[in-house]
Amino acid sequence: MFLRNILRFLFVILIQVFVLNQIQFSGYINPYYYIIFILLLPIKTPAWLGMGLAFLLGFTIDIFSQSPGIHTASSVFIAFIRPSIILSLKTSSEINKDLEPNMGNMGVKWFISYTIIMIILHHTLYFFIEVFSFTSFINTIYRILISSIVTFITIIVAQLLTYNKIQK
Amino acid sequence: MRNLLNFLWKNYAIFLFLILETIAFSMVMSSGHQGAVFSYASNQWGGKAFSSYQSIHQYFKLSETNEQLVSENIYLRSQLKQSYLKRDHNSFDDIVIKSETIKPDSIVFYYDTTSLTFEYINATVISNSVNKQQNYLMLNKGYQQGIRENMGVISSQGGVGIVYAVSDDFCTIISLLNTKTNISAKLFSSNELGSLKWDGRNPQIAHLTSIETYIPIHTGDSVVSSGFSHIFPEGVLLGTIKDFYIEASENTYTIEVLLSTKFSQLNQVTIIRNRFYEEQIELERRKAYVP
Repeated sequence: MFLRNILRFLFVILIQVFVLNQIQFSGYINPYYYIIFILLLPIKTPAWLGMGLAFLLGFTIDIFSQSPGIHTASSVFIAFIRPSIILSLKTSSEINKDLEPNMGNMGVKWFISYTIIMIILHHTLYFFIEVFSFTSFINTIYRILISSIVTFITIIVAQLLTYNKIQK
Repeated sequence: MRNLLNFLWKNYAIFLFLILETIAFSMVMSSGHQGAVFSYASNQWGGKAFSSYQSIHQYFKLSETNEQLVSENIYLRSQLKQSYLKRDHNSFDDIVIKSETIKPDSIVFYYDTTSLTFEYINATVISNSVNKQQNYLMLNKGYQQGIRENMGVISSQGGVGIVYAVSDDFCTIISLLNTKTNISAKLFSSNELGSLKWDGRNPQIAHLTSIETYIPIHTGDSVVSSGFSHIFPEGVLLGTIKDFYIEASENTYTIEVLLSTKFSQLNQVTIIRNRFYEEQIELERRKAYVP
């Protein structure tokens, strides 16, 4: 479990920095796939560890995308809010806390709603910090929506690839 | 006391969250020339990683790069003295003029070829983005190669940006596609001054401001650098006018400029050094102290 998360940490950084950041779709589409690492941390991960890892992950992505502090702030935020979202989506008695909340363990429907909430929270914070004003409000909302959809697709596709393995 | 410690322990997550967010936001706020620590780290570490990635990536772009270089070569060749038609000026009319003291073509611009004002070196783009509000590029040349802040960067297609932060081996360019960038530009046809700004939306369109409405302009006019900021030489192509309109109760145009540089495909760029930059800026600074 431990090793697996370390490998995933490195993997999402590589994918984000060297693949997704390099593809310049248009001015509006910026998928931030790396947050899948925060989504898939085991449920029992203590708050300090979750936020610490999110800080480290966000800071690394910031270093490589020359956006000082923006990814860090939004990653730490979703890591902080994550336990409450997991609890609110399902009562705590139903959850086996040793598991990681992926599609296979939690069910497709649960995972999709969990992912959507986390992505929207992260992207809203990210794009508003990036613009740092409410002047181009509609434009920012548009960027958030488009990018959230693409991030969602990348995360679901990544899950489906591993989900099949679990089923076999 | 014990209650307080207990309270802190129970709610440690909130305090940790606040501390981490404070650190993150202090990084967000310090993103100026003052945020030197972050930009140096980002430059030097990011640069190392990207340059090895880029060497692979570049291999696949070789043919495209070649094409660009060939077209630029052709353009430069057309600028050579030998490419211009040599006209034989000796005609009967000349005999009349020669008898006078002033010849019509006796005005010669004197170029001092021993000391160039603008010097050029090439660099490779190792990281780039077009989809943020503040876009930056990173190049594989740094302090050790003589790169300093506020040098201009152009590509074979036109203006790209200005050097913003320099580390030992790499430098960061603040792209034209950055809402903080403001470049002194002019219309090629009428020499009318304005400034070029990007609004953070379409990565191909920038806006030229402060051109007054009595000046005739046309779609397709070239927008070039003015040379007044001492960063770019005069006449570097920035883009062409795509569309323009006058908003109610305004006496300047809103001009949409189609940028000539395709930022998403940048690979090879040229860094411009103005040998007299310090001197010119120092002189400009001095006029601020005039009583």
